[in-house]
Amino acid sequence: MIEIQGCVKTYRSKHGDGIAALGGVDLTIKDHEFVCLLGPSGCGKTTLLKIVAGLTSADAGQVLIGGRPVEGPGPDRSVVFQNFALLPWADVFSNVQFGLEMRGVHPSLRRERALHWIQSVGLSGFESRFPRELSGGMQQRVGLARALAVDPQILLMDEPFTSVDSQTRRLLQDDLVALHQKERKTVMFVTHSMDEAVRLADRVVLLTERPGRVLERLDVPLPRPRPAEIRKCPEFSELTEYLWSRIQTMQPDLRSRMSERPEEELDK
Amino acid sequence: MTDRRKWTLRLVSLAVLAGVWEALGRGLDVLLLPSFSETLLAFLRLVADVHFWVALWISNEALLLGFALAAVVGVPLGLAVGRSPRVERFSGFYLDLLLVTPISALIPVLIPALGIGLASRTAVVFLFAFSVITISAASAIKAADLVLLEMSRSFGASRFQVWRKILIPAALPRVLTGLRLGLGRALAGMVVVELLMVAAGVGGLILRYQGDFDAPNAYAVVLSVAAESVLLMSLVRKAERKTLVLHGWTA
Repeated sequence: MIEIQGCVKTYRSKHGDGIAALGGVDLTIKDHEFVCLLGPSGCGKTTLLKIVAGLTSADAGQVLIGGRPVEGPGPDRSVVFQNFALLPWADVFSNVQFGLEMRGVHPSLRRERALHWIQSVGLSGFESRFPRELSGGMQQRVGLARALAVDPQILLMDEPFTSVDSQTRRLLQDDLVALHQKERKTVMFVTHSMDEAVRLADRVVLLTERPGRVLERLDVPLPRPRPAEIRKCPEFSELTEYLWSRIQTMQPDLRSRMSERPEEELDK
Repeated sequence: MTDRRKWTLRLVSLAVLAGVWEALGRGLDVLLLPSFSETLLAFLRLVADVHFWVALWISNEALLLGFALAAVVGVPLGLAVGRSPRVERFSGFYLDLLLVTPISALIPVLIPALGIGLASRTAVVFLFAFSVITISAASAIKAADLVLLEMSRSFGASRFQVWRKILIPAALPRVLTGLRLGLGRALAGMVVVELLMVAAGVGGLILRYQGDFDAPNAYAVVLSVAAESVLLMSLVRKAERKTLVLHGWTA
């Protein structure tokens, strides 16, 4: 269980004036739960994810995982990054086994686990390819395999499908749905796509504009497994419509900013 | 462009250069400008002479020592400067100073301190090459993708692992470029110190032939230095490319 308690984060600029990213977030994520953090860009959702990852610390408040406060990165968590964060000089195999290598796993076991996950994300045969030879979607599959190879309990995904085209995005969502069905990891997934949030999550957490606070927690009662056709369900569009109406109640400048993303937000 | 066309063009440009040189050398009847053919003949005589090779070795000894020292000191220092603001504040100013100061102007200061032997020639080569190597290594580290650092930390990488697995591989291309640029400057330093202060090696040879008004030989020595530089630089370029391929940077 992840317990986020009163997390506040302010970034200081060089001139001393602060940018308040998080204004006191409380959130509890149960084991095996898939939670999507939804909100406009710059609302601090990535900051919140990084605090949970232990990559940055909160100015106030704390995060407990299994009752213990987070003081840094740990083997119970893996991060999937927006821009993939693959080593450009290393092939797919080396990238996937990177986390295992950092944790001192024996090379033969490393090999076995890496090959298993390369296969699981559908990249068999690409082991010795370099990231520059792969499409964006394939690169993020490498990122996903790397995160899963260390067998974390918690998967922290920071807008992982934002950097790929919309068709690839759907395919990746399909794969993640199937994967989550099998692995039942606890997932914290940051997105600004309502469609994506409803498709993937057990629960959508809507954050406000900066400084980010929890505006609403919304259960997604859609049954699992969720095939791609679930978008045609009336409940699906009801939920996305509802989220959209909630987002619209936020500040007007936000409304204009959200409508600048018709492809990602409105089209689906 | 095909390899053949490239070489044809190169040969044509060389032929044009040689032709113009030949014409000027014959037409201008100046004592210290030999024609191309005279220089070529002198060059062939020179490479058959053991004294030339001894002089070349003397120069290259300083080049080798000075450049190796610059690389061994410059790369680690540069990596440290790039990583640590404290080290940068401590040494950044002097590195910039060293980069822009004409090192030739320091030679008269160095000679009294180090004598006119190998030590001072090595020191000059070192000073010529050192700053560009260091600054390139520093910028290489600064250009490393911060997301990769964050990624490695998220997997619990130790400081040593961050260096070994992220920073050094990320810095490699720019470090190699810096070493190549440094070698170019080292070659310049090698000749400059011999011309200005310590009449040894190929520089000394040039001075001696000039003193004897033996223009063809003086030019032939200059030609040999140019040839060595071109050869060395192309070798280094090849080694650089090979290293990058070996380390996964390019196919």
